[in-house]
Amino acid sequence: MSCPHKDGCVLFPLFALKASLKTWQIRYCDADYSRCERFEKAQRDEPVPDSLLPNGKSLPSKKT
Amino acid sequence: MSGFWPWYWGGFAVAAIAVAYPYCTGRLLGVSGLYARALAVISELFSPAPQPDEDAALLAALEAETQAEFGHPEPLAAPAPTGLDAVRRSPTRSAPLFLLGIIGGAALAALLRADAVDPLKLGQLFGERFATPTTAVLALAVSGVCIGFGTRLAGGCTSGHGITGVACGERGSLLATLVFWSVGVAVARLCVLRIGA
Repeated sequence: MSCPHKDGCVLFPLFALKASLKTWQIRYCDADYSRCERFEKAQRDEPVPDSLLPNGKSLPSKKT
Repeated sequence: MSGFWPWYWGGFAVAAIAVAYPYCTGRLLGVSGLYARALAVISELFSPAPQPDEDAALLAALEAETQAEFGHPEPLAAPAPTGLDAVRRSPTRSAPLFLLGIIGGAALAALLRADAVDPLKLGQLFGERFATPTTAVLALAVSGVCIGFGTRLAGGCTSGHGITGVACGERGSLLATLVFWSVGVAVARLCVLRIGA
């Protein structure tokens, strides 16, 4: 079963842009989303930063 | 050769295409969708090339993090497809080719017919209603826009809904086909009655 938050996840479509990035979807979104940091935060009703990766690390934030 | 070809030739040809197209492209046949994809490809050709920006930097950072996390840069990359596979996997190739085939096939059929010389002569009623080339072209253009609007609104056209969708047993396609077919017959009948009156 896939992650219930993937439709609203800002990173999920990014992971589909390249074959190498699909690994995130396979390892986290489709396989074991319970260990995804983004999923855990969403489950705790905490705000999920756009830059937060499933492994807990952060990407550089986009300037607004 | 003169006159129209036997109608059942068209039926067999359309059926053959409806079967061959999914086999060759991996997609179900729908001509309006092909037009939309072809137009998208053309609009991309004329749109300015994207400049390196923050999105590219973000993607680069994501790739770097992917490599750090999983340790292999292209674990799922498949070898580049070639030949028919390349056409199958690329709508940017199959859609324009198919549309060119529609135009080329119609042109070839017209050339093979000795009496087919004027594409604006679409029968006696059309000729009476739109007597000059200007009105005929305008009528065809307005009709084309209406058909285009209707097909995008309905999510498909006579090929997508009427051939592929009905053949697949899609209820929405069956309903769409019933609606546009019956309305088309009714409107054509009204036109005949008004002109005949």
